[in-house]
Amino acid sequence: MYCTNCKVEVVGNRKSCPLCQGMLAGEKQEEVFPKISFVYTEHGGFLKVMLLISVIISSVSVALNVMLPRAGAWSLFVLGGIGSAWISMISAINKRNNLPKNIVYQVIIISVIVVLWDLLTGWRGWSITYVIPFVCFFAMISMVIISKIRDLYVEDYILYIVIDGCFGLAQIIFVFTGWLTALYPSLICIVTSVISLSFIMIFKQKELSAEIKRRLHI
Amino acid sequence: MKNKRISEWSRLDNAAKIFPPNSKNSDTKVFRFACELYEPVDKNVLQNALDMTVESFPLYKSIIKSGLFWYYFEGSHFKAEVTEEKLPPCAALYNKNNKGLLFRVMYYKKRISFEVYHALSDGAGALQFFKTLIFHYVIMKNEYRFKDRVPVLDIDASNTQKMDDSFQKYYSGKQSGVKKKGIKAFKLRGPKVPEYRVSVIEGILPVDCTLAKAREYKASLTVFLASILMMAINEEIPLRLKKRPVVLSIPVNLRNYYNSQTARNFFGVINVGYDFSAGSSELQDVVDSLKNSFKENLRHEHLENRINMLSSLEHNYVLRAVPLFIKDVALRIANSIADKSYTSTLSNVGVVNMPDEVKPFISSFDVFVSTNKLQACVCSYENRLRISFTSAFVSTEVQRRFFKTLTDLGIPVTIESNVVHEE
Repeated sequence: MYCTNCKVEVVGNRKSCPLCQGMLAGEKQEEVFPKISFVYTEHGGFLKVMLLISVIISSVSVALNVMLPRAGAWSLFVLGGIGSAWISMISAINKRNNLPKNIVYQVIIISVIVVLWDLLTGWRGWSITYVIPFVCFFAMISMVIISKIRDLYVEDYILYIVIDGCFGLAQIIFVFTGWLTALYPSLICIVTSVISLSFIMIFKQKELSAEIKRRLHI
Repeated sequence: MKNKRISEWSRLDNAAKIFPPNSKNSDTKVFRFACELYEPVDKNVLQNALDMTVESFPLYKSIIKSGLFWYYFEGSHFKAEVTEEKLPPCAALYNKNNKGLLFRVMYYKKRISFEVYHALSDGAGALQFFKTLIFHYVIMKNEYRFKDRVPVLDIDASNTQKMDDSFQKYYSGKQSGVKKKGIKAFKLRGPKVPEYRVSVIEGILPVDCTLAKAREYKASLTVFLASILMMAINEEIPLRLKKRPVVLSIPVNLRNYYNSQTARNFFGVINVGYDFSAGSSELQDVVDSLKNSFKENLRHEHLENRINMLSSLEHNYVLRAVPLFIKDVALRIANSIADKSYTSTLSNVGVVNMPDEVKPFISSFDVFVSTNKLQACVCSYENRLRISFTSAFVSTEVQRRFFKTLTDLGIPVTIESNVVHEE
């Protein structure tokens, strides 16, 4: 095809010149590039609805709270709860393609959030006594199961098991400082961590040191 | 158990380090080589040729992972699959949260397209891979013709040479001269193509005819085309911004200046500018001015200075121990500052050579790159010179004026494009 305006040959099967948008004359040929239509879809429609619902609930509860101040500042709990759920959800969505990493991120996020909640509601120690040990324990168990079921390569999970193991092992500090109101959750968590860390040290020692070298090279 | 082997890893080379933190949907840092054959592509043969090629380019099996201080390549278990072209040109390859290979091979009718993430390699390095792939494909597809004598490709680099980090090799630590103060270049603006896509407009010109014209102006091909591009951009500048110079950023293949056969990044960038408010708008004057800027910028000391300046940062022990997420922020800032210093880019990949025996099966080669501005890439094969514009803008005025100048000079131009105006 030919554009008399630009004085160029145009390859393809089209009505107008890609340079000047003028009419083309001559014989049609095959297009060089495949035609890929625009999608124009709304991404994350569900999340947007969730976001609006969160805003509605938060603003309405703050307004109600201001109207009925005698019940205390309960709307702060609503805001805190919605905020915590969002932080955890965003991390889960971002890391959805890497389950072990996702799990470790969740362990850390949940731990920080529950300690904050515990602190702000008058420290009663439930966060470090129950929540953190059980989260660590279930994270460890699920990572082991996932790596077996999905037949993951060792470098795709070893680091995350070690991080979770060290995190679980750190519960020892709380056992000795006596901040715990019950001992058994922490003990379960510590024993699981010791077993899984030892397993990796004994059977995957080479892989572990290679992974550490890669991740920490300067 | 499939976990027997411990994956190999390697560092990103100096130039590659800027890419991972700065890759986004609006600028994916992916470039494409394409090859047009005379016959429709056979998917299975292409897959076999690809499998064979990957074996001799070990780095192409890598994915990018992040450590505490640096990104690194790690050997992966992914297998490269040939697919029919269903993605827009230069779609993202690197995604921090979804690891995958850093290149893809696609086909559409008679064209084979090869897209690469820039952190893996630059144009000259990726061309080694692509030439090998096309070479294997042609030989496998036309086996009966090559029964007696199988031709050889001129790439004789060993796998180690191809994996070589030449920035490390040629870092001398010497630095001299003063740093030039950054100038703010004119910036193209306008409505953009939806979905962060790029429009591709390619002009095919006869090499002999174009070179002859360039010689008339006593210029090399790159200088000649750069001058015409600058003049085409100049017409876009509104009067009140005329004081800003038009600056082209020109990637330089350092393999031409240093002894290296690496298939990884080994390029530098020079910025050449022209101030149309101060100088004349005659093509000959622009050419003369650019010739001088090129000569000045391509002096050996100047190039060496650039290598040393960039590499000195990663040889600094304090900076090396800064955690990656802080480096990411710094590199994003550095990138956005550098972005303001040029208007557009012209990259001349040069002549693509293939062994004589496979030439009859290949029609032409072309190359273009993702951009959030306007960018031109040039390469030639036999007597076909291809100038490929990629642009994030809807407007095609710069491209129209560029090719208009060429046709006015008497050079015949054929246009290929992915731009379709919906009727």
